[in-house]
Amino acid sequence: MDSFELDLILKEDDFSMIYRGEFNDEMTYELMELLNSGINDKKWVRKRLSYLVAECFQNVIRHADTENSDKPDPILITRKKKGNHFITSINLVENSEIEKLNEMLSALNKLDDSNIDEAFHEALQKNQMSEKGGAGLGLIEMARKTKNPLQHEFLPYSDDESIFVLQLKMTSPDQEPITMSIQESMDVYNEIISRNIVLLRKGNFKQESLMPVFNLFEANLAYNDEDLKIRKKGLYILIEMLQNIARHGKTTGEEHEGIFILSIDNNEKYSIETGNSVDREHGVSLERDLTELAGFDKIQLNKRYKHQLMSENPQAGEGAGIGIIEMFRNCDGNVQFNFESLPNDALFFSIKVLLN
Amino acid sequence: MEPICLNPTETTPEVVFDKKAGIFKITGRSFPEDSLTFYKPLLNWLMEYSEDANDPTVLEVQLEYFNSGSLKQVFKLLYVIEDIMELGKESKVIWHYKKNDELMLQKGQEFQKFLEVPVELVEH
Repeated sequence: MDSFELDLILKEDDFSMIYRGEFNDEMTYELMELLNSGINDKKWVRKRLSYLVAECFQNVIRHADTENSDKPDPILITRKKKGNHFITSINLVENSEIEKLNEMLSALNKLDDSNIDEAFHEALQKNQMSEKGGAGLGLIEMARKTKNPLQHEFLPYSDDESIFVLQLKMTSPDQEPITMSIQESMDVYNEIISRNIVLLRKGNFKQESLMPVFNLFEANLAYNDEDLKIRKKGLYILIEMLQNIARHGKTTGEEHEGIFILSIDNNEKYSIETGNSVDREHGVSLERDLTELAGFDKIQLNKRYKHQLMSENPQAGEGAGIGIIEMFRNCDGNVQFNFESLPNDALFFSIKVLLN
Repeated sequence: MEPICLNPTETTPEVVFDKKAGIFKITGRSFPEDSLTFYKPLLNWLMEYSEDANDPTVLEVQLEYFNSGSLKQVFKLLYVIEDIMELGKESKVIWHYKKNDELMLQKGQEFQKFLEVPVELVEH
């Protein structure tokens, strides 16, 4: 399943967050919250990262073509690997802009720290604005804050447009710098596109990380009466699934590690998938319970729900608790699950729910 | 009895349990990580209250978003309201839901089915 395969692709990451879709200011805020809830670096590092993510967002918004929905959506990838943070934005730009962008990026990458500061002040004074706003100031700021060259590439897309990949790297002072190629980001990009993923988050899942996901999901669903049904059920299932990672997931120290994926299929239906490792023994009993529930009809599910509602058993440490029964009840049985063997007597547990 | 007044948070509801004023209300979101710990003091309070309950007693529930663990705990509270009825006092639950909020309506209907105490469904 997606969560297992992507967890494998992102296996070296302490944290990853990938977003594909509409880029606007509201999203910027929620994504920054989501990033902040998953990174436990020093406060100044988190602040700088938020700033860089916001800059990348602005850059994408500047080039966004909202009129044509056939074109690939912009993507933002943030990854933390061995103490190095990578932020990659991938979006279409008009071919006519390439030369100017290329020139500016190449010139910037040749400057040292003091020259970059100079260029920044110069640009600030001139306050030159490009037609779409922005003065190249954003790019200068990125170079200033990351203290690393801005990796970039233009890949052909059509006669008029190209895919612009911009990749920033920030290394904490106490960490060894590592490199990541543009190709590696493009490989992730292609996985995200081919699997119809709109949001992915890998890392620790605590209650604080629930709210940004909740808000993003809520903001993504149109607010009208017709959608209220899907919205309520979707959020109900979302909460259960995120809290399930904390309930069933193996812990690293005090943290519950897992991966969360939101995807949208060609019929505009959302799927929520989570994946996390569990102890083999726990996984085996969970698989037995899930297989039983998958074979139940509506009446049997209702019966089991009532039984669980009235039982005195606390939630923690059980097999399939009331939350999982509710997933089956609220999506007409559209629940897929899988267990893969991991080293150290563990299993990787994936569960995916299709919202209708 | 000292009343319970809890302000709402992002993940927990506003709660007012006030014997003197005759107000028993749970309003807002309820998806704390540990529902048992959040609802335990409310359940204890209501159980103590049930020994000398007002006649009538009306518990009003209006939840916007919730998790299954919270529902289980809310169900326990409703059970105590049923106990009050069985002690010969008039009691009921008013279950508020928004128009088109099928999930909240469904939960109200389930509780209606599972309980003897009247659960009145009110659409807004």
